[in-house]
Amino acid sequence: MKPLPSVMAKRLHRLWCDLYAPAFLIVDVNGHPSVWGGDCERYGLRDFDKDRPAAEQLPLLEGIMPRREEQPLLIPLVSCPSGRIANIHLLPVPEGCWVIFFDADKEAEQQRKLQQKSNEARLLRHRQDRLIDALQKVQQELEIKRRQAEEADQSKSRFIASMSHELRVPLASILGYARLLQSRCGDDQEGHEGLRTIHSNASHLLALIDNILDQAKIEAGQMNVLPSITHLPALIDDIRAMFAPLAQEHGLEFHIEQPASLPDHVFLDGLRLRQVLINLVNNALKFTKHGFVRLRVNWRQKWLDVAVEDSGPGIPAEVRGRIFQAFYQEPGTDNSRQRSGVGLGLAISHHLVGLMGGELAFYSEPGQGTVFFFTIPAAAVNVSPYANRKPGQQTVLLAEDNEALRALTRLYLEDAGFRVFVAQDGGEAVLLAEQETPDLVLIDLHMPVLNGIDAVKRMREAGYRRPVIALTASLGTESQRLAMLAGCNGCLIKPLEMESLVEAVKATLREAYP
Amino acid sequence: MEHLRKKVCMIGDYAVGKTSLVSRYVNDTFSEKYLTTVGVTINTKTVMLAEGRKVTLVLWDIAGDDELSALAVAYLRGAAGYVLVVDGTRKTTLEAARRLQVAVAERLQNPPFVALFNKDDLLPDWEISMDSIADLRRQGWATVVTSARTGHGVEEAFRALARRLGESV
Repeated sequence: MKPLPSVMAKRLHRLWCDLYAPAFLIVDVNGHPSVWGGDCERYGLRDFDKDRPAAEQLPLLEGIMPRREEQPLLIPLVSCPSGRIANIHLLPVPEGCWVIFFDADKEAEQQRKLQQKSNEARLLRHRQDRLIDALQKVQQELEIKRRQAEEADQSKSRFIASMSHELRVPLASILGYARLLQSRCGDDQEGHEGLRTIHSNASHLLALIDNILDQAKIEAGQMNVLPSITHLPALIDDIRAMFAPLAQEHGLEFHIEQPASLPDHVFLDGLRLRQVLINLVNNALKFTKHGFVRLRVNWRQKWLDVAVEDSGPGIPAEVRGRIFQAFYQEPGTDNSRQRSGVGLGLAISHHLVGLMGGELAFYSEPGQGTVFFFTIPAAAVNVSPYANRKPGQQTVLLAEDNEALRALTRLYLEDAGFRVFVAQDGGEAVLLAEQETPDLVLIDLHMPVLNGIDAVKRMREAGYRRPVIALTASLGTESQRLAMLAGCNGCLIKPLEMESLVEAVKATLREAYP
Repeated sequence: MEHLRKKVCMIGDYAVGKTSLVSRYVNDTFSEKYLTTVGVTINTKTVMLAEGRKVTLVLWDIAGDDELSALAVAYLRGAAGYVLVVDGTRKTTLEAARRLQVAVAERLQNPPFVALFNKDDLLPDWEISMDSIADLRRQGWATVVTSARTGHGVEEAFRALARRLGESV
């Protein structure tokens, strides 16, 4: 390359000096400063003492001075005593070392901006990762707790189902045999009275157990409704039969108003509707001292309207907001008749009506009585009759593993004129259904060898097309649902009055073989 | 009276608190704002040792990195010892410190060092267990748990290194 003209070289030299603002320091072989110059002020290089070591006066030189035989060194981006940033070149020479400072402020500032952004982004990412980890940990803990809660819930459900079965089966025997003995004790008034008390107390105990178990299911979120084809007139008749004697006993009028246009069969949960009606009518009878209790049922375009009206004292304004609360009992109900129960009937009824698609509400005037009312969906259903019934005495296959209940039910069915075949387990029931082709099967769902649900499935698979009524002591709707899926036409909850059971059998047969 | 001068490099991953530790040790100040270090910043602090001896630590606060770059190698030149800084709230900074320690030991013929586990004031957020620090101590590392924010352990850490540098003369 040819040398530059001197004018140009001087100009470039000035530009270069302006840009890099060089300063220098020569350190002798003893490590002492000997000569310095350039823009020393820019880097904070004050006057040096030539008798003291350079590193003592400029600490950044500590330890970095190269030996004579070493190559030149660059220490980049060093923060100098003035705070300015410099690139420092170290040039070993025979008489010591040149230390040259070049301004690097702009370069450092650019790098600082980039580095700051990059590091902050990395820190943010780290915090984000930690948050995600923490969230995942919380999620895992929640999942574990959810599973534990589910397990606890399942244990509770199993406990409720088991208790339900264990309490209801012996009660069924007590109620049934009390009624049977009553019918056979002739003129023995004392015996009649004793058996009536046993029956009445057992019924009361059963109602309490049912309510407490229902409330436990509501609290566990396990209360369900199971709509099926329901014979509405039979249900209403049942309520009339149940409460007319009680109303008479208390000197009250009990009316049921139902239009002639009421359909025979509707699609709703008959068991739960019956439970609600029992609660409402029973409450009305409990709190009404004089006058009447009236049940009004109306049907219009797939909807069922129900109202239970009484001429009782009415509900005080201050307690109206609480009467659907569980275990709430109106204060001042010192009458033992009014205080029977634990304050669950209305809470359960309110919940059940909600599950059936309606809302239980009331209207009450102090001294003028109260009316509870609700409307629920209830589509009318046409039921096709069963064909090919044999003429002569009707036959029922009774499958029940509990010996006492089997004997009792058989007695009632035979008294009602049925020929009864009995099976002690599901396997025997399947065989008898095939051999005898009974007009109806009454089958307990909990039996050894083959349970009721599997037995019904096998009967249906084998071609048995006649009505099957399931019997269960479990309050859970799951067993009812499984029974219906297996091919049952209805499901009755034990214990139930033997008369009601016989009526249910007769009603089913009437529908099946009109 | 003997007066030593020793170059000490501050080494560690980015944002572990190297600059804050120097600032706390030299000026007894602390800033909550994070400002990255570009290149190197140099400070000094004189420590009195036993028997009237004293040592001036020339502290090279080097820009953080998780590996020993060529740039950092230039800064290490002539260092008599180093301070290895770890952020207790980020376990990746301990992994970086392990790599850096091996690399520096090779370059500088195993000079004395002290490992500072910083951000003790954020202990609930720590990702590094005290057990793992105890393990390092058993492996021969001099370790101190510090907080540049509160000053906890800072003086003690630098003083420990200064003593070792004074002994190594």
